[in-house]
Amino acid sequence: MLGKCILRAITGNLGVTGGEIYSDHPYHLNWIDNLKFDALLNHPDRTRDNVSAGEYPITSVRGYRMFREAMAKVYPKGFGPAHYMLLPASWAIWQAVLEGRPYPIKAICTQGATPS
Amino acid sequence: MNVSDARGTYRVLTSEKLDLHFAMDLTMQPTASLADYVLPAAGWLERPNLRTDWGFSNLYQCTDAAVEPLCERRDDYWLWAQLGKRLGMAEEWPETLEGMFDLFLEGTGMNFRGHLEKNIENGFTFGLLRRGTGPTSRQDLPPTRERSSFPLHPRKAGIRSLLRLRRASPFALFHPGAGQGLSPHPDKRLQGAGVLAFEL
Repeated sequence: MLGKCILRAITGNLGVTGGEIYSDHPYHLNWIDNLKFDALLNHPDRTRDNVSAGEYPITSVRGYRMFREAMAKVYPKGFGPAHYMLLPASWAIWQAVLEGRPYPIKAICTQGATPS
Repeated sequence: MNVSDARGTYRVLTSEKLDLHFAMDLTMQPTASLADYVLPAAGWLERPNLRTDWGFSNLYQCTDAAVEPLCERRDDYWLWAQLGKRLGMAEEWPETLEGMFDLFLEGTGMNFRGHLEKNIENGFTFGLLRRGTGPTSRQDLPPTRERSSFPLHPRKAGIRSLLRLRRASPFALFHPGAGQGLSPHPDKRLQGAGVLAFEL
């Protein structure tokens, strides 16, 4: 699947009839504008990356920022689902609570927290 | 928190190293029972909702709360708005969930309440928006040699009864122009499912 995507891109078949067609963003729903990803990224209290950024750089604040900059060249307003990139791995949260690595987490909020 | 390692989760949520654990949930399930504070959440019948397909399409659906939240139950927007305001982002968070929906619907020229009143008989409103007529326009998007999009023209696209199409031809669903010229099935109960049939 990834290979096919890459082939479409390097053969100039993105955004053309017969190739991979870009889908348009909704025009009436102000979805992207209201996600405020840039406000999240640039919040003055954000002084460090998430707790699993060292192990999984792509799902990190730094990874998201790089993704955001790259996507801005295609979609200036950004792209929606990438907020998942800001979520740390759960095992790293447990490690941060129990061992304080890479920094301690002292408070947790759970929602829809069905145990498994 | 649907994560593996239930024992590990239990160890963390009962650890003395954790200063605070608060839960917001519909029921007092096991994880919430470990929390220092439990905030009762409003159920889906107790809150308005705006379905938007995660911003991927022009489809949206507004539904109103059927009843007021019981007791002290509150929607989770309230929780995150309170936290957001305390983190210095007060201007980003409207007072209510409906206020946030109004921001999302600004481009439609009508607020959330207006959409509900437009079609109050059914209790919800359903909008399929046309392309290229909103305040934001195609110039926001990168230029392409020939833009193609999913056809939404009423002459070319239509919602047809799935059962009706199956009756017409077993391959009708996969054919260009499938279902064209078919009249809606007289029995509304048979029209639960639909398919977008279109001509190429």
